[in-house]
This record gives sequence, structure tokens and C-alpha cells, in this order.
Amino acid sequence: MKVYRVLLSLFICSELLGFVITDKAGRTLRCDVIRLEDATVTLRRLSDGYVFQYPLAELSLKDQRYLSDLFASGGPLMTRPEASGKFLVRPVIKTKKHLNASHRIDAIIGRHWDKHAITGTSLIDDEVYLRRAYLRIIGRIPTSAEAVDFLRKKSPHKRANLVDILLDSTGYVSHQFNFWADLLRVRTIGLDGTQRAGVYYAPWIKQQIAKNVAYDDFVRTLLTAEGYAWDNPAVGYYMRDEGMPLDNMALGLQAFLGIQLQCAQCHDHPFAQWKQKDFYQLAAFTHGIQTEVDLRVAKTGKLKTLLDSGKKTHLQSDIKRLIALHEKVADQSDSLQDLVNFDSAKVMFMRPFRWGVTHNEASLKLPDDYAYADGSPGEVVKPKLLFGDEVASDLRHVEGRIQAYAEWMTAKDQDRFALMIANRLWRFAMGRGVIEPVGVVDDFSQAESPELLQFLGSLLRYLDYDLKQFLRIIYNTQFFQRIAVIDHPDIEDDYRLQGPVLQRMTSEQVWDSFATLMRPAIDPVMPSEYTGQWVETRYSSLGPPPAVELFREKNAGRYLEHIQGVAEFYKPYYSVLSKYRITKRQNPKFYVEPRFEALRERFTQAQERWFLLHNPGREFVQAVPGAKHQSSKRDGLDPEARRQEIMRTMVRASELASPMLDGHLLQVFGQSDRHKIDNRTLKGNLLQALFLMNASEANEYMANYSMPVLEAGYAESVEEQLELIFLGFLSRKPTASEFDLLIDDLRLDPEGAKSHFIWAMLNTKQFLFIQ
Amino acid sequence: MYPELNQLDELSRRKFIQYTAKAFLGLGMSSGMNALIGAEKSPPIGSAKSVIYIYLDGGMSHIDTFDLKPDWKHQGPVDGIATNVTGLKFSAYLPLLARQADKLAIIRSMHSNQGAHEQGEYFLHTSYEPRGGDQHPGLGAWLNKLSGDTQSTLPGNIRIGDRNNLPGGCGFLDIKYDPLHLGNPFTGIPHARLHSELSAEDFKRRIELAKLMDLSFERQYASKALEAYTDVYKDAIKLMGSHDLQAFDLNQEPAKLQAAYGVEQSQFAASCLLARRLVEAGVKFVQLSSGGWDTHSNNHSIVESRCHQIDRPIATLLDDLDSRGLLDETLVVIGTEFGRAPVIDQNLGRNHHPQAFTCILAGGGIQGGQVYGATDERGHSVVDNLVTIPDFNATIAHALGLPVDQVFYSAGGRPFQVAGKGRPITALFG
Repeated sequence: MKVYRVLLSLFICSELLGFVITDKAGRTLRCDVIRLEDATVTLRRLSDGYVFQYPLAELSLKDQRYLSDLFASGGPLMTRPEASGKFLVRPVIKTKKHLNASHRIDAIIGRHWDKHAITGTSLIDDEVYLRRAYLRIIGRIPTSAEAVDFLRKKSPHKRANLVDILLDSTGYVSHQFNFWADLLRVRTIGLDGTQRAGVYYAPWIKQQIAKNVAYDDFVRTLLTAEGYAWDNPAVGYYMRDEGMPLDNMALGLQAFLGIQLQCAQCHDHPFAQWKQKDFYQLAAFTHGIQTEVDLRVAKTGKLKTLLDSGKKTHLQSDIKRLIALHEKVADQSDSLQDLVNFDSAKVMFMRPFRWGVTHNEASLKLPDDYAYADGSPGEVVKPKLLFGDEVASDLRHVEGRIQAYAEWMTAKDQDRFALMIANRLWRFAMGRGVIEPVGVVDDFSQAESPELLQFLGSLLRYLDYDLKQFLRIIYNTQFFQRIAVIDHPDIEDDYRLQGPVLQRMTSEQVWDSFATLMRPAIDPVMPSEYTGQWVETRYSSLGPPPAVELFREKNAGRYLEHIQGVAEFYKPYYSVLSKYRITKRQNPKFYVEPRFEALRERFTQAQERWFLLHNPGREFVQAVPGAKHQSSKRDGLDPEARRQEIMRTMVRASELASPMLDGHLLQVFGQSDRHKIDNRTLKGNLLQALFLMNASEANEYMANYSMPVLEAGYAESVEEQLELIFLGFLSRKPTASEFDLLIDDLRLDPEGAKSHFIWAMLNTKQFLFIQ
Repeated sequence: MYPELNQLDELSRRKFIQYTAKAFLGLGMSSGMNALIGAEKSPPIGSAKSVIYIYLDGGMSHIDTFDLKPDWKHQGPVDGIATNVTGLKFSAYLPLLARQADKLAIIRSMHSNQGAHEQGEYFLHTSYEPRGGDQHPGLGAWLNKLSGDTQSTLPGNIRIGDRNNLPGGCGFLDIKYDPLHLGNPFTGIPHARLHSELSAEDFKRRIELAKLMDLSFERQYASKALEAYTDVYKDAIKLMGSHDLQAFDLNQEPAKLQAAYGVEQSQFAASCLLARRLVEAGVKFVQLSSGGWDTHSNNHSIVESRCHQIDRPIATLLDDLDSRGLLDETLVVIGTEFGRAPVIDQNLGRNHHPQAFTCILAGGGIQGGQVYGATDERGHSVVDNLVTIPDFNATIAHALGLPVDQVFYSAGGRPFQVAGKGRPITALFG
């Protein structure tokens, strides 16, 4: 009881609820903490978003100490627009009415049990619920403060309230992004065009999630997207498969309708009804979508449709001017050496315009090796839908065809469209779809409970594809609150919807949970911009690349002059660059040896000047010479600096490159490579175990600097310390036997005991598996 | 009677006959049957158990290295030098490899249809063109999947080098066949050692504590998924205490041998030495990279410096494997995604050239000291014995005894083969 009393006095409730700030007079206020500067703290009142400043000295001593610690260690620093209220998560509509649907779902499942003469599992207690809700709704474990806050509440509605709070938090956006990134195979690395567009596409997807854009609208926007990614980030959907339009079509069909048509790209489908002809007839709708703006054949070929369309968008005017410029550039060829320099500069300034989506009238032909009787090689294919009524649009023109395709895919009577996403979201929440596998579905009546699946599909349509309300309804079912069951992969038909399924955390959940342990208030920490660099051109999600801005400011002649000016500097830059590269290659210790310092310095200067010529007005950030170097740098720091360094660089998985490579923890734990739909894996491997057992992050870092340990530092008793640490790592209090086992050690040798049992907690299965 | 039969190539004909025999006689073909119907004797399969794959990243210029064209006006400044094989000349940039030529099979008739790096390296590593969906496995993954477990505690597929985004990982095969990537040859497997502040005794104590905490959880959720983690931990702990980890310690090699490789001079050299140690420790597939072969400008001087980087380490590696008696069971591959154009352009560079280029095989049952195929007088086109990338990979697979004809299905039900449609060049085997 004593422990409980102390916990009640904890002043930080929840980052989601904002911090509960207490001033000297004992008054409390819920707010976001934005900044701490010159002993003044900037706060945003949660009730109305009002931003104001307050002297630190006026706060309670505990809050003063905690906030100072917090900022010394790098958080929360809400630098992104959200801190100023521009990127708020649109709240879910909180009506009781909708929750009737939750009861309906439970009733359907009840009937399903009756039919099979079984019963479902019992309801879970608050501790298990707490961890599950956080992991399933916002993709990370709760902090100890959040755990305390929830567990101490007495309200009978506290679970429903928690669902609403979580759905409206930024953590929801982060967790949902991983779902969409897996489904849409969002990559911010890889092919040139994929990367460049990804800089704009990934944050745009997050914005759609935050705004809770209706699913059918979202898909229509993707399918009809045209232009450059900085003007219309939705083109990332097509740029992701740059140069592979047929694959893009097939995978889109699979993602949204669950139809596997890829085989039919080369031959009739061996198991399903689809013919190769079907594939091409469907592809004929989207064939006019071009993922490269090729200026060399601008007038004659693929850009003609665009130029003739008479539309007056950025894209049209850009392209018209680009064609004029391209002709001028082609005339420049004075001397060989000049040309080399000029070419190099030209690439920087012209290349960004290559990566855009345009529509053209090119018609699709059957492939040269077409071998069936219903067509001949080289024959022009007319668009024809796989099933359903033909659409009214004018199919003679590309715009009409693309429109028709998007309408067909998302039509209200398109059962598959609703059922597929309903089933996927059910799995997202419960660990297993009503029908499995979720990716390709031939026959929805094979679902474990067809009645449930149909209900979910109609519910989603009734909600006009409000995905968040849909999730709110299923998170509020009794079913979501039942004890998890084991899904035996080898035994068919042993799963009868008795309860959600026990599942290992996804790699993102593992990473985000680590991030939660290492950095306070992790959810709002997002980069203020996404950036990428193609050779010297810097891309930022905040606006077009500098070359494009410059191009739009200047006329073609002036733009050309600018390029020529930059070309002048190419030769001296190149000579430093090649010396640098060769020396670096020949000397493994290039970065640390003093004798190379002058060269390193010279290179940095040349690089900076070169960079600024291409990116006027942008901040020059020196490229990091590889993660290896960085980590060795980190190893050399003293523990406190090292802690701050780790803290500073810690963000949620959704804010990192998609996907992460180079042995990053996300890769180690099976993040999808985002080549195939849903390609994540939840399997264990050697490197995971080695990391959890032996890495510094799992050892002295967690024992000394993790958030639960930091918070336990304010505890008034050893018992409370133990409890806070258990809550922070495992979201539960220690059992009586654990308490007896550990409490004396913790008293006698606090440091030693902590590092032992924290290590042990991280290496339990209950840490990795979601009950 | 069956005119189609004569058009089939040897192996599929064999398969066909085998199938017919099975279908009509209800049994598989015994060796007796084999003699009875007069099927050709099976081509010699290589003796390789493991592979050291040296990837020349960017596209090696064949004309400046292993396929000189002294009479061609764009040959550039390099001279040919004699090798230890009569009549065979290498570029003067490769003096030490020239003395190992008797171990090499030089394939001068390589041909690819992929002229861009990303597509080219994908093709080289997987035998398939990149597609939006299924990713194709590389040879290292195939080898580990098809050749069963080893005694070694080390992962069977390891890559050493700067680049971590090369294609040809596990593809659609199990993630456990994915290559473990080591950023450089000195670091070893990450976190393979007990944390420095932890005694072995405390480690045991912690493991016990974790088990204790999990008691009721394990009981409630007993399942394959949990068991799998128990196994993973067992393997990891076995590895941590394993003697095999010493394979990563290059300092166990005599200073003289380290110097012969040139370990001090370059990471590439250290990678070659590490590769040999790993293969000895039971790793089946080791890939290392040498970068910088994309010589779009200053081709001659850059190719010279690149050759200088690889000459000593690879020559020493071959010699070292040979003197340890490991060359027969270790296939050494030197692969590159395409060659370089015969013509020197305005940047003094050579452009990409997939039409014709050179790759090399050594050891693993390959007959050394031979040249296979030829290009025309400019090094522009293949004029004799064209070898596609899938053929090249099928030859590697063949050397390892992998079934190149067998069809495997991805989870999505699509059919794949180890080396795509490639056929092994059996003439290369001794």
C-alpha cells in the first residue's frame, strides 16, 4: 500500500496526456513541454493549444529537476511543425453509438463459438491489457509513468478512454505508418527515382494518417497521381516502382484487392482463373503512366499528351520550359574539357526533373513471346476490367482510363476493396486475420467466420472508410481484451477465434520500445524535414530541390548561365575529390591519422563550396563517412556524452530510412525489406540474441540511463524503485516471488542488482512477445 | 520418332528419359538402366564445398586486364606480360596474378543483357532480372539451403565489405540464409563476445534470472514460437563460447603471411585473408568486394590502381589455399556485373559494356590455366562460346553439386531455379 501511495504522487502522468506540470503552489496543468531555454520553459496547454512561457524557478522542485535532466539528455525538443500546432492528429469521433458495433462483433464471435461448441478465453487483467493496448495501438510499450497512470485509475471506462487517447496520439501515426509502409512497399532508399520521391512520399503518408483521410479517397489519390513528388507527393506510389509499370499494377492489385495477377504477366495463371490476356487488358488502363520525364524525346513521343492537354499546372509549364532549355543545352560543346565540366554540372541541375510521373497516350501491346490463341504478339490491347460493370469514363484517352481504373478499384460495390483492408486491420489489431493468409484471397467465404468478415466489410463502408473509427470499434470489443491464444502454424483449423493471437513484436515495435526506454517522450520526436541527397542535390520534404526552385525563378537563359558558372568550379573540386577518395581507399585509418588532416580539411571546404553552388541558401551538412566511423566516435565519448549522443539520435522507426539496412536493429529483428507486400518476419535469429545479451545498449546503458531507471531515481523507497523499473520494462509489477528474490540484492548492491535484473528482463520472452 | 528430343540439350534430354522411364516402368532409373538405354555419362561435378566470391564492383574493364587487345587503337598504355601458362598474357597491372594463372579459368566470353549497375549487379548475384515482387536468392543462400547443416557455429553465408545493399541475399528463402554483413574485416560478428563488464558467472546468473521471470509465461504460452527463441539463445550462447570465433582474429596468422596478403595496406587484403580463415572454419559462402571499377573517367590510371589493390591479395589467397590443400574444395570466383566499352570517351573513361566481358573461376574442380571463349579484335562482342550470367552461376552451382535443374517454389507459388535458366559449362572442369 505504501508503494501505491508514493506512486500516486508521481507528477508525470503521460506524455500522451501531456506532462502534468506542478508549480510551487501545487497547482497542476496538463501541457506539452516544447523548450527549455534560459531557465524559461515553453509549454503548450493541452486543452486549447495555447503556447506560453513560464519561469522554471516557479515550478515544484521535483519538476525543475526532472525537466532539467530531460533537456540535458536531449528531449523532448518538439522541433517539427506539430509543436506549433500545424501537424495535429485529427481526433477520432468519440460517440457511444459507434461502440454498439463493438457489441455486435462480440455477439457474432459468440455465435461462432456456439457453433463450434467452444468458449473464448477469459478477459485479461489491466497489466496485460495495458501493454497490449500500447503495442497494438501505438506500437510501443508504455513508459512506467504511463503504466502507473493507467493502473491506478478506478474508472470502469478506463480501457475505452485509453483507446481514445492512444488513437489521438502521434504514436498512432507512427505505428500506422509502418503498416502502410509494409503494404505499399514504401522505400526511401533504392532506385534513384524511388529515393527522391520517397523523401516527399513517406511524410505525406504520415500526414494522410494524421488527417485520417478516408481509405478510398487515399487510394484514388495514389492511383491518379501525376507530377513531381515535391508538388504532389502521392506520385511516390508510382515512382516506387520506377521503370516497372507492370509490376506496379500487379502489386497494387494485390495490395488493394488481394488478387495475385503477377504470374499472368508472363503466362496464364497456373492455379487461378486469370489469363495472360486478362493481365494485359487490365494493365492497358494504367499503361499511360510514365515514371520518367525523358526530355530527349519530349516533342515526338511520350510527353506530347501532356503538352497537348492544355492544362496549366506546374508540371505543364515546367516541362515546356525544360524542353526549350534542353535544346539550348544540347548546343553547348565548345571544348572537350569544358564539356566534361559542363556535363557534370548539368546533371545536377537537369536530373531532378527526370523523376516525375506523367500520363501519355502510348498504347499497350502484347509481348513478343505471347503464345496464346486469343491474341498475337505486338497486338494493341484494349482496356478491359477483370470483373464488374464497365465504367462510364471515356476510355479513348489516358485520363479517362486511369480514372476508370481508380473508380473500379474503389467503387462502393467493390466487395474485395472493403474486405481486404478490414481483414488486414483486424490482423493488425488481433495478430491474425479473420481469413488467412491476408495477402491473396481467392474466396472470402473460406474465412474462419464469414459472417464476421462480412460484417467488418460493411461496417467499414458504413463508416465511409474512416479507418480510425473502425479501429476504435474493434479495439473496444471484448475480443480485444481476451487472453491471447497460440496459433499453431502446423495444425490447421485449431484457431476458432477464441481470442487474439500471441505474437512476437514486429521489428518496429521492438525498436520503438527500446526508443521508449532510452528517450523521454519519444512519440513527438520527429525530424522537422525528410532529406535525401542525390550526388550534390539536396532534397527536403519541405520544398522542391534547390535546382527546381532556381529553375522556376529564372528564365531558361539565366538558368543556363547559372549552370555554366557552376561548371567553372568543377575541375578544382574534382581534383581534390579524387585525391581524397584515393587516399581514403588506400589508408584504412584515414579518418583518424593526423597526417591526413590537411587533406580532410581541404576536402570539406571544397565540398562545402560545391554543395552551396548547387544548393544556394541551404545548410551544408558534411556527409557522415559511414556508420562504422560514427560508432567508433561514440565509443570514445565519456558515458554521459555517449548517453546524450544516443538519446539525441533516437527516433521512432517511422522516422528512419525505409527500410533500414547495415545490420541495424530493425533489420536484425526482421523489418520488411519493402520489396514484397508484408515482407516482415517475426522469426528469431542469432544476431537478435547476441544483441540483447551483449550489446552495450542492453547492458550498462539500460542499467544506468534508461527512462525507468531515471524515474526510479526519484523514488522514495527501494520497493518503489523495483516496482517502477518492472513497470517500465515489463509493464507489470514484480510478482511476490520476484520481489522476494530481488529486493535484498537491490538494497545491498543497488547498481549490481539493477544491471542484473534489467538485463534479465530484456532477455525474457515476455518482453518480446505480445500477450 | 521424337524429333523434339534431338533438339533438347543434353541435361533436359536426360531428364526427359528419366521421366519416361519412371512413367513407364514405375521406378527410378538405376545405374543399370543407365547403361541399358545408353544415356551419356554424367558430366563431372566439381569438388567444391565452399566459395570465396570476389566481386569487382562497378564493372571491370576486361580490355585492360584479362582480355588485352594490343592491336586495338583504344587499348591504352598497358602492356601484356607473360604468365606461368604458355601463350597466355595478362595485363602488366597484374604481375602477381600472372604467376598464378595456372590455377585460373579465364572466361572471356561473358555476356549480360543488363547495362545499368543496379540491374546488372542484381542479375549477376541472382541470375534473374529484378522484379517488383519476389526477391531472388543469391548463390550463398542457395548453397546453405541445399547443402545441409555444418558442424560450425558460424553463420554459413558471410559478406565482408563496404556495401551492404548488394542484391542476392536470402530472397524468398528463409531469412536464416541471408548473408551476415560485416562492414569491415576487423570487427567480427557484432556482440559475439560477452560484454566487457560482465563475468561468465554473472552471465549465467542473469540467464537463470531471465528463465525464472519467464516461468509462468512459458507455461501459459508454450509454443513453437517460444521454443524457437530458446533455440536461438542456445545457438548464440554456443557461438559466444565457440572456438570458431577465433576465425575472425587475423592476428593469429604469421606476420609473414599477413604481409604477403598486404593486410596492412588495404581492407581488401585483410578481407581475403579473413575469407580463407572463415572457409577453414566451415563457412560455406564468403563474398568480398573491391570497389571503384566504374571507370567513367581516367580509365587507365584508375584500372591500374584497382589492379594494384587486388593483385597481391588474390594471388596470395590462391597460393595460400593451394599450399594448404584447400583449393580443390574451395571455389574462388572473380565476378563483375559487366565489362567496359572498347572505346575511350571524352572523359578518358570507358562506358558500361555488358555485351562482352571477363569473369574468372579457380579451384573447386575447375581446370586451371585455361581460357574459355573469346571476343573480337576490339573486345566488343563475343565470337566464341558465349557464356551468359545464368550460365556462369550455373557453373558455380555445378561445381558445388547443386541441382541446377530442380525447380523450387516461392511462398507465392512461383517457380525458380538456382541459376535461373543457366546451363553449367562442364568443359571448364578438369
